[in-house]
Amino acid sequence: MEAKIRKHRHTLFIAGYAAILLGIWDTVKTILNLTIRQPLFKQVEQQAAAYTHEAMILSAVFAGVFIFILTVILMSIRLTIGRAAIRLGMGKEIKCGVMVFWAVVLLLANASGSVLSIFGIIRGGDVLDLTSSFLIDLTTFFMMAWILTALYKLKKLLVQTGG
Amino acid sequence: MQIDFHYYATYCAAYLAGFSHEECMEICSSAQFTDCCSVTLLSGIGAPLSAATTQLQLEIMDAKADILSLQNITRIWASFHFLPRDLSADVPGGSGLYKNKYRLICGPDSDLLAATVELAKDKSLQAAGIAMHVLADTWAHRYFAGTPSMVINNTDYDFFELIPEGDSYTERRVTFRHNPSAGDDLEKSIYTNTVYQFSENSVMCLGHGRAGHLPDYSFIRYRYLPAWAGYEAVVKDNPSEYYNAFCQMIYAMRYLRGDLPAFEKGVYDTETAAPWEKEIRWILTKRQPDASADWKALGELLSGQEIPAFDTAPFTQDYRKADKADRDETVLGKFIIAALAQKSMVTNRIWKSGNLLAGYSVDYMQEGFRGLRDFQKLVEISLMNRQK
Amino acid sequence: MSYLQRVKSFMEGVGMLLAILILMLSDESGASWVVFILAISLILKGIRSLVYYFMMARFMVGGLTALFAGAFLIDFGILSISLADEARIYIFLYLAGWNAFSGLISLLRAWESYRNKGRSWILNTLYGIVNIGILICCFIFRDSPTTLATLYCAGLGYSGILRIINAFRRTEIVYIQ
Repeated sequence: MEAKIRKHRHTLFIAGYAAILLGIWDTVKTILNLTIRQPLFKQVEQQAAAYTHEAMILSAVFAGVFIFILTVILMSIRLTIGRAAIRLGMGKEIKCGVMVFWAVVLLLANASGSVLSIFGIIRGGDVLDLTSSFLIDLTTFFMMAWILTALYKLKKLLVQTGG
Repeated sequence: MQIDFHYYATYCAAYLAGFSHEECMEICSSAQFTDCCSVTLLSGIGAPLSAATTQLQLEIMDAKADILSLQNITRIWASFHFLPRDLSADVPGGSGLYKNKYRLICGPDSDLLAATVELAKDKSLQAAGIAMHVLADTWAHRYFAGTPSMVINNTDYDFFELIPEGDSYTERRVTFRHNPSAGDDLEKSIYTNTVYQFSENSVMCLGHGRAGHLPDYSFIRYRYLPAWAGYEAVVKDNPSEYYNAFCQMIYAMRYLRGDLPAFEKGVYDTETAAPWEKEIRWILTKRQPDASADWKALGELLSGQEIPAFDTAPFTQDYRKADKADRDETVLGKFIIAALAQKSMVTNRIWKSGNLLAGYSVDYMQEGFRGLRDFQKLVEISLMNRQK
Repeated sequence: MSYLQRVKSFMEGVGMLLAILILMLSDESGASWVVFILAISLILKGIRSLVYYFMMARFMVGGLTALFAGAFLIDFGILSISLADEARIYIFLYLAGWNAFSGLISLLRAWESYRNKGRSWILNTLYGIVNIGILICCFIFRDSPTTLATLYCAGLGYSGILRIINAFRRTEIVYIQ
């Protein structure tokens, strides 16, 4: 039983770190996409060719700030989940209600994201983009599933052992 | 293990087994030289490179990740420092490759150890020295394998030192860092280990690199999760294990000397060591990075003779000066022959068990000579002995 | 090595030499091909990591890392393909990083060998100088994708030749009772 407890703690520890690293990677990818691959200003230019130069700058700034805020929110959620999972993995006793809530949210969001990516590929969208999205969504889905399952099993074992 | 045990403790064990001071010096020098005989050293004196019994850090880092380099690494480390415990161990799951790596895990009292001691019987004192080095390391390096493997040799944050406190122990988490120049901080349990590199065949996961120098400290006791153990914790009690190693060395050397009719696994000559048990256990449990001074003092007390500091120069100088025809009769020449024989035997056993991690072995009697030319020497010696 | 392993090593070496021909004959798009090869090798590494997890790492303490690492590598590879227009940066980073590390290790080995009066110090020094030379060329020609691709091909050629030599090397150890 000690071995099983250790196993679940280790799962939480690794999945916690992975959640944070994946969040950082997602942020880096977003920055790379918006600066090198599909520069934000060029995208706005194509979409809003009829507007004035000032309006285009304003649109780009607004889009940039919106994406920035969204990225920060997503990163914060991943950090919350990751840090809680790591602390549980190290054997610390913490309240994990918030972690469970956001893990479930991410689980459902990424499950739907994966499905949408598949539909996108079938309907002839950008294969590279959608494959990448599908992969990350699927990984995050499994990561959250692992965290939740390990947490549940760990709690059950700790109750059994009186820990 | 390190010089304190391989050189000075081996001297003590050899003396207690009945060897003279001069014979003890030959044996313990060879035991320690097993940790020094690298390709770099051998190439400097024109000796056969296949006789290498160790690899320097830079040699290991320079090794490529191709199959030949991995086989070469495995041959050296499994033959001399991580003798496999059970080449036919039952492994519950995993691919064929996983099972092969699992079966290279080192441990004491193995069939291969018996074969190693048998191989040294009626051979040179240098062969006895190599056998004692291998024997001692089976105790210190148990639970690790002499092949680069993350799934076998990795460690993680769940690593605790057990500090004696009265009749029990307190646990102190071990902190690992990757700064070899900083040295180990014994008081705070801060130790140096190899960097975590996510690659199955990374040399960072060779042997006990991921556990740092801990297996080689005689005083230490620790609890950790071996990568292969399915989250079961293992407690390593080095003072007890080193004492077993010492007693087993006495037993093995008594056999090699001819005092005993056979060498059996699991037998340790505690009787011969008993009069000195208190001193030996005091040395083994003393919290210090190097117990050479204490072992040296004990050895000199036993024999009444001075034990000089270990030096590789006598090995290499004689070999260099000797004529080619006479080189096999020098100390290093005899060491080389013994090393080639040990490597050949272990590689053969591993290969015969269906494990290709140490490469191919060719049975001379069935297939004639093939492969690395350095091993021709063994064939020549064997044929000469048959003629006699 | 087994017979099959020797054949595999030989074919890999020949494949690498053929790849050099294709890359050198491709003119400007050679650099994009190099990034494509690097990206594909990343994706293959990722797939290997996933296979590694299922075959071995799931029996290891903390083996879950292999699964996440595999996903990350595949995603990195896919991103690299989509950023192939900036081939120059990728090839530069790859070549500079690899040669800096290799060169340093070779020179350290040469120094150690020299101190121990070994004979291999000359060869190791040569390796080190070549690696550092390529590193310097990377910086000088960092704006020329074709030159960077040529330097990559030089490394590919060296690896290919080594694989062909390895296929014919003596490796067995004789055993006699």
